[in-house]
This record gives sequence, structure tokens and C-alpha cells, in this order.
Amino acid sequence: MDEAFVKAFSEVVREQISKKSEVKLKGLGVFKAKHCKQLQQQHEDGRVVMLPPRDIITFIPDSSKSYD
Amino acid sequence: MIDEEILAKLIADKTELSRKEAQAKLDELAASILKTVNAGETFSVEHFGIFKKEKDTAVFLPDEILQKEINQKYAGYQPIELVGSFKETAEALSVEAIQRPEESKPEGKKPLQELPQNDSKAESEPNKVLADSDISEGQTDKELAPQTEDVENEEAEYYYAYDEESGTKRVILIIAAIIAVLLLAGWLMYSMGVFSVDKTQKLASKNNISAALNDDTVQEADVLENSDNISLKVDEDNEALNESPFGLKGVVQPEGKNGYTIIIHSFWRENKALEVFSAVKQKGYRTMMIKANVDGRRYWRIGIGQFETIGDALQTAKTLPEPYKSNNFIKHQ
Repeated sequence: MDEAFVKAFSEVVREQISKKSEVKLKGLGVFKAKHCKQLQQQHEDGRVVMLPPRDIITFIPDSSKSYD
Repeated sequence: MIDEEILAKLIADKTELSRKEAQAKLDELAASILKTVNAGETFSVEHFGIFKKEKDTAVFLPDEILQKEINQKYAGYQPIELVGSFKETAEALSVEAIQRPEESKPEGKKPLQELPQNDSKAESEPNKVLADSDISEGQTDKELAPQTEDVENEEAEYYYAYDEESGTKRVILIIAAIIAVLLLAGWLMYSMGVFSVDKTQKLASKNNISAALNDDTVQEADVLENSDNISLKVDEDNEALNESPFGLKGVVQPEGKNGYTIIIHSFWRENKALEVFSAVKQKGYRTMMIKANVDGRRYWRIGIGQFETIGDALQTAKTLPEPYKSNNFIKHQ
């Protein structure tokens, strides 16, 4: 695979996701940005930790294709 | 949504490829990823992520660089440990915490200051440029986490303090109400004459007080000489004729007509005067009812005793019980 192409591909997708746009790749699926709110998490030892909010990239595979 | 056409165009702009060539390469990339994933293997794209199969579905695991770039808005945010969060609430309810609420605030901010030091420098460098551009946004968001905690604690303190204040206020109100009720009951009993030994005396004094308010003894004393139509109502029971003509107690004697009497009551209404006349007479005094006119107004006076001289009358008046002792004047019969 062409390195330049792959590099350009990843850069484009990163930029678009950062702008909160959805990127659809035919035959594969959709890349989306998802926002997670801050939440409290309690550990077993009783400690409570506040996780900060964050944005993550998610991938939803194309359901029409079967993955056997 | 960015579809294949726009994606191809963007890639073509970045590289020397044409749009058609970029489109073709994209299809080729998608097909190779699918094929690899179907085979159960992982397909890795440099600086992007890994595609692999998990439980019959394709899964994408983003690269760390990609994650950082996507999360650049919250770069620098670290998890905050709520130090003794459950313990702190119990302490927040204590008296000391309420009196010194400012001390609890710095505790929440300390972990935020300390933890970033543990962050590895390698991670921060590639995102340095991007993070700097969003410092203002990041800073405002950083305040979110500690603020929520402080607000909750402050609210808990506030609610507890409010409850305490309302409780003490309620107690004070109840005590004040009880005192007011007791005072009212005491005044009622005093006015009813519960505290006095002789009930009739109290009633008489009450009447006398009202009479004293109604009549002007000073004026009447000055107007004695000018009063007209003075009539004398003498007790018709002349049983004790052997009594001396002068005295305080007993029955009114006709011989004592030209003497002096002590006026203890003065009424506008005759009915009232008659009531008091019989009451005073029952006590054993030589009682007489005298009609008088002062400045065109009729008064009904109750006089007790028959005295030869004014001096005798005055001396006897001093021996009278209150309120007669201090509320009387001497009148010639």
C-alpha cells in the first residue's frame, strides 16, 4: 500500500473527526466522534475517582457485510 | 457526512494523485481491510489504528496519537480522586466545617495540581501545538470537575445549617408563645379576682376605679358649695336608734344629719349607685346615697359614716381599707 496515500488518508480522517464530522468508508463502515461526559468511578477499596470528559473516535462497521 | 467522493477529493488535494486514483486506492484499502479482518487477522494502519475481528464484528482500535488528537479539547485533564469523599460529607455536616467552609475548597483542587506532574512528557509533546491553541477552552472546562464537588458539599453544608437555624427559631417561637399565654391567663385571673381574698371587695374596687375615672373629685370638692338640689336618702331602717348619732359603722342616724360623711363613690347612673349602696351597706357601714348636681350633670354619691367634724371624718377616712382610703372626699350632709 502506498505510504503517502495511507498517511494522507489517516490525516484526512483525523481532521474530519476532530471537526466532529462523520467519515464513511464504502464497504467498511462509518467513523464517528463521540463525547463522553465526566463521571464518578468508585473502586473496590472505597476510593472515588472523577473521570474527566473526553471525546473518542468510534467505528460502526457496515452491517451489510458479513464477517464470518 | 464525509462520503467516499469528498474523502477522495481531500486525499487527492493532499497527495499528487487524481481524484479517480484516490477513489480507487480507497476502495482497495477498504477491500484489503475486509479481507484481513475476515481471515481473523488484524490490519494496522500507521498513525491511525488497528482493525480486527471481535465476536463476528469488525472492531477499530484507534492509535494513541489519533486518540490524543481527537481529545485535544480535554488534553491535560486527569482523573481526580475525590479524597475521602464519603468521609468528607460527614465532616462537612459537623459544626467546625460549617463555621469554616473555606478550608474545604482547596482540598478538591490539590489533586488537579499534583497529578499532571505524573503525566509523561512524551505524550504532551506531539500535541503541544494543538493544546496551546485551546488553552482558554481547556482552562474553563478544567474548573468543571472540582466545582461540581464543591457545590455539592456547599449545598450539603447549606442545607444542614438552614435546618439547624430553623430548628432553634422554632423553639424560640414556641417558648415565646407559652410565655404570652401564661401572661394572658394571669392577667385574666387578676381581673376576674381570683387572687383576692374577698371577691366583693375586688368588684367594689373595680367599680370604684371606674367611678374615680368618671368623676373629678378635685372639681367636685371645689364645687361643693355651688351644688344645687342636694337631697338626702336615708336608710329607712331605724332599728338601732340607741346608737350614737356619729360613727362609721352601724345604721344611719337622723341625729347625725348635720354632720359630715365620707364620699367613697360617685356614679352617673342611679342603678349602679343603688347596687354599690347595698353592697357597701352589707359591710356594716352607715351608708347613704346622695344626689348631687355638678355643672348641670347629676351624680349619685355613696357616703359612709356620720361625723361631727371634718377632722373626725378625715381621721376615720385614714382607717378605711383601700381603695376608699385614697379615693374619698368629705361632704357635709
